[in-house]
Amino acid sequence: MQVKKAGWWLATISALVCLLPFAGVIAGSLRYPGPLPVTLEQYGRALLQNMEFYTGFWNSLLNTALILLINIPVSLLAGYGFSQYRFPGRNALYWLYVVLMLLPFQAVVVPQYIVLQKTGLLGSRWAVILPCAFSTFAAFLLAQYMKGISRELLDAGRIDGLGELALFWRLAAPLCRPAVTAAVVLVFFSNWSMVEQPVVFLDELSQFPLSALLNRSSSLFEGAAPACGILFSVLPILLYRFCYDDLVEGISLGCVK
Amino acid sequence: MRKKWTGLWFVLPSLLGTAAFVIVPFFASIGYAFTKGTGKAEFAGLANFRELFANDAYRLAVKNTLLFILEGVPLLVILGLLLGIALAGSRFSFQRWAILIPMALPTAAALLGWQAVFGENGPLNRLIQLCGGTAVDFFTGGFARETLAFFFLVKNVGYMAVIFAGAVSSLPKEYGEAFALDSGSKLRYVWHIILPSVRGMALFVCVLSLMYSFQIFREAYGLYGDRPPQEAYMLQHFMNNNFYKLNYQRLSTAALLLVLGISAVLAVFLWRQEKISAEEGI
Repeated sequence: MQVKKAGWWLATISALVCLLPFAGVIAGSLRYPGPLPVTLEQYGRALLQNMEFYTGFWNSLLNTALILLINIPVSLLAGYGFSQYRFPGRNALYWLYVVLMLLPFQAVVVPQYIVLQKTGLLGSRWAVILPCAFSTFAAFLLAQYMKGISRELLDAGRIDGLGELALFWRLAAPLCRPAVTAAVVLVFFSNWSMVEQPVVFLDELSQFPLSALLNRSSSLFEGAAPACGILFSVLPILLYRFCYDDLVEGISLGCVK
Repeated sequence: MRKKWTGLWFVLPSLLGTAAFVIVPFFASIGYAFTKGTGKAEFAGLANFRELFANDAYRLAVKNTLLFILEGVPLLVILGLLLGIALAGSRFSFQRWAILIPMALPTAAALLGWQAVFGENGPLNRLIQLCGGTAVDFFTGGFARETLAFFFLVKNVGYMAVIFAGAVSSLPKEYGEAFALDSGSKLRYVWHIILPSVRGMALFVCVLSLMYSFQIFREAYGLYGDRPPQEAYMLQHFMNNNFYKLNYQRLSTAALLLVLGISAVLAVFLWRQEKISAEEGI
């Protein structure tokens, strides 16, 4: 059938184009000026001769982990609150959450800078962690998903004598595993690539996550930047591979009305 | 019994943090948009706004940002929809896996990859030269914004396609079967049944795409730093540079306008979505 074939072409060409950057950085990481066309020289340099790579990587890892540790539980609670209850101001607050989600960093950089300065957090790891830990994206995603939780189920729980918190923890939360996985993965991806906050809120290059170092300070890596890029991609790609099904379910069902 | 405010308790932890780091400071900084002078600030009414609109850099930034959004978002939504429809009907596991990869690939790595592919001596330029053309500078040759739009497309099309594929897959099978009884054309099925059914979802995808379009600054910053080519100088660059110059008032004015603009667009989208939901009886 014509349409099916067209669909196949579209999907396949798109897939190949989407793989281009990945292929490009892999190819770029296997080259090094010298006699050999293909060499692991870059990886050697990245892993063995480059302190900046490890500092940057560690910063990325720690920052992202702490952000997730705060953001996910807090957003899960908020998502549950938005989706299962009606309280005065709920719609306005939800709308505010969506607006905040859409705002680019520059719209809030001045107020955040001042808050961080006044609390003495500027220049520390927390300057980069705390503002991002309260991003409203995950709350939105989880709220959308949780709208699908059946009222009857929760009402049955209430009749059985479960308190509201127990209802959340024992009934609702386990149902959301795919959405929570998707939220974790998406928030991870987003913060793993964080660039604007470190540049503005941090002073020392040694505090920067790898995402902020790789492109603009690539001289730090002495020609091994692509290899560092690949090494930097290992975690997110692994996460992608292991959570693929939940990720897809969380993305698509999180949007069904 | 469920009390009136129970829901708010659940939202509270998130709300406290968000209020502390975003909401309250933002409202506090609105004052900057209406004052002038360093040190002792004096009320300046709308002077900052007038000055902003007259500022060449600001106008350039707004123009480029709007152009970028117009170049990127509709294409993203349409391509996402087509891809979603294509994926919904079939297994295509390799394709499904591949199109989400750009989202997983860290921006820094993706940029290195794109630079390798689109670079002066990269495969694309070699191909162009093989076909008799001259090498194209994709990054600083006047197309910077379109190049960025392309990166934006590739990065996000998978995500949008998955959303649409989910929406299309959840259409009741009876629609397809009933339609097939009347007409054998798959194309007309798409046009008459699928498209109207995903209208609400398409709106949502538009809003999401708008959100991601602002994130292109990461790519732009990674490629060009503080001084991008003219055609790629966007709102965030303008705001960043004013931040570095400590021109907080100008920045806050621009920020306030941006927030108002986004809120207005969002309000329109939500209103349209309400209308569509009402029409569909949801």
